[in-house]
Amino acid sequence: MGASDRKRCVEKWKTAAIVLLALSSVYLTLQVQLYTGGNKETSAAAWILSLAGRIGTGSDSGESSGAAGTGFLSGISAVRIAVKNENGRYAVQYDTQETGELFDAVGNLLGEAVGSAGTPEAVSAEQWRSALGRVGVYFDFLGRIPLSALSQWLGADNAALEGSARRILLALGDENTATLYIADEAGGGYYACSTAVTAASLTADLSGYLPNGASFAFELGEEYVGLPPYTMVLPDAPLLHVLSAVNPMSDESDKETLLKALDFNPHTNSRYPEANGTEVIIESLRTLRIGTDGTVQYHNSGVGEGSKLRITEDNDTPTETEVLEYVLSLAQETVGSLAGEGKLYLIDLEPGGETGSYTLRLGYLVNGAGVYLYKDGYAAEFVIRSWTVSDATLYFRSYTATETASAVLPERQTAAAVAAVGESDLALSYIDGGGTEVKAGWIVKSQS
Amino acid sequence: MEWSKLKTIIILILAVSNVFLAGLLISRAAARDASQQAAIDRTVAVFEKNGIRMDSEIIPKVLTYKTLQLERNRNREQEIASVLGRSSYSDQGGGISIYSGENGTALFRGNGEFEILMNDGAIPVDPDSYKEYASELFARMGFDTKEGFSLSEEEDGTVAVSSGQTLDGSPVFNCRAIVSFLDGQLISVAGRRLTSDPVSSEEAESISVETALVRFLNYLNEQGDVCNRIETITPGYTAQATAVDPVRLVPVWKIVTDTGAYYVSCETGAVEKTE
Repeated sequence: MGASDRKRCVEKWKTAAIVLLALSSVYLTLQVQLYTGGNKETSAAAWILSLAGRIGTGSDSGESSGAAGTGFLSGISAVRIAVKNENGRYAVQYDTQETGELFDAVGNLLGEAVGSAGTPEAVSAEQWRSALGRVGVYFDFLGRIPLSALSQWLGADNAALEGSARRILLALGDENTATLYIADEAGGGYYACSTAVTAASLTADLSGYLPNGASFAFELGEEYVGLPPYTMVLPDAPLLHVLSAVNPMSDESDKETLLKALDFNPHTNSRYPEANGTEVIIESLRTLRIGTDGTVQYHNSGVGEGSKLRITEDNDTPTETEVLEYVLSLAQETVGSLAGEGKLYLIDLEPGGETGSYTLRLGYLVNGAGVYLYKDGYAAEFVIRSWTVSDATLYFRSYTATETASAVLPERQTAAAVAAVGESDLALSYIDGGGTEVKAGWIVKSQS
Repeated sequence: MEWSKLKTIIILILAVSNVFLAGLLISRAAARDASQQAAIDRTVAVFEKNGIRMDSEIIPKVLTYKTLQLERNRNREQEIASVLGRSSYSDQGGGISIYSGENGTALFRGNGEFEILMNDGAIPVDPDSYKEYASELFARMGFDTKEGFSLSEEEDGTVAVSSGQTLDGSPVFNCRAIVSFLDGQLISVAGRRLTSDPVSSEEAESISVETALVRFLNYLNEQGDVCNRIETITPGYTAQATAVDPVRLVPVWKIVTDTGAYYVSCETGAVEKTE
């Protein structure tokens, strides 16, 4: 090798050494940054290394991937869950975290049952109550959930299930499988479906829970006869904290968010205040009235193809689940987004007389207890005509729990008081009349 | 020529900075290790104060964990069900699948639980070969016979061989299978298995060693559980399935005391007693 060849070789090695040492410096610098104890989430080092990690594992942005219905299901998860095994009954209610955790633990069984359920057959109230006494798991959704939607959100999509239900029970049946029971007192009674959930699976999955003395009112003595039969009674009286409540629509940015959610131009000049302070916004055939107390009313007098807030963009007929999902999303973007510690729950979905017509009502839920708001109780009502949101009434409220406990009458005393009134529909709810303090109490709707 | 000298100077500068950075990295790592050890020593002292002995050597030093997502691999279920011989498949809905074959039936659930029941006399197995037969079956199903492999005999003569499952060397604590034999034949295979290889992972900001152990101590005090000694702490996973999500592998520590065993979540510090 001549001198010039040697020099060229040396230069090549020098270049390679520079590249390697430069890369090594960069790597060591990033590693030192990670050890520095700065904010790992914002440091450039962490970002670069996490990006490299994601490329390596093929993982996505870091959000967990679940079934498409996860978001909707979390918005309507059960407010009351009871597990009955050979030792007794364990139940949770009025505690969003505990009911959420229990739903995560036993919800798999619900998915299997709903997915494999056969055609529902009518059963009597006595059969339903008898099933509640067997080994099984019981869910109370507070509102009436369309079973087709629940089935899809659980990843099951079982066409055999129609109608709505507030209460669902999976209990041991007569054979080696479990039976799914559906209760829809408001709609028409009780039903039972065979499932492919084995008795062994049900028993094993529910075996780890220790009873906490939970009983349904109908299982207790004469003292509780005044209570609705499926009121869950626990040894300790329910503990609900007093809420502070405000109208969250005080800010121009909140109004802008509302306008965008309802597909209005947030910078429109077609707006004027009424004498009572209500702001009126008009866009073509649509009107939006924003009251000073957080009451918002929307009306579209020109529904149909090409309208704003139309559920379907093409000629496909939306399913009931798609209607529900559209409205749930809209509700979450409006009242749901400013509710503070409040969540939304579906009270009811009623088909209208014509094709493409529905009325949906949603309520506020705070720590597992419904909020009875103003005269009608609901937080939002949406009316759909021709697959388009034609009317909406939204009551914006934001709730925060205080440290003070609401003085709630225990169930036994309530039962005695209610018995004097006569047969009634009774529920423990927050009662919001529009003030800044919201307390919990028993709401009685006398039927006598 | 000048360019060559420049390169040499650049190399020297880079070499010096590499040495400096390496030294800095080593000193930072040593400082972190010392800080970690100090935290462990403090934690051990707190446990001693509460009457619980624990050797600091058993405390894992790993801090970074991943939550892993699995998807259901039905082909693998079919392979496992091949022990039935020729079989027909039926999707029951709700994630429940049933195979019915000439040798028996197999049921698979979406959360990984399964049960294979053999017909009488379908699969004869020499009693002296129970262990070997079970080991082969475990290997086919993806179970690691180094993890919790055991053999026991029941009063009725049933011989149960069980094994755990691991993922990249870490135990998945609630994934175990039991192969049962009776009177020279295979009678059942049942348990819970990983439904697939991980399809995605989520890097978790795990809690610190100190936090996890203090949460465990608080749990013992709240529940009134008594123990005198912590025997082992093993990092691993538990498989969890919810109503809508596919199976997740959640990083946990299994803490074995002289009176029981517990799982402590590396994400949240939540404590759960094992069955």
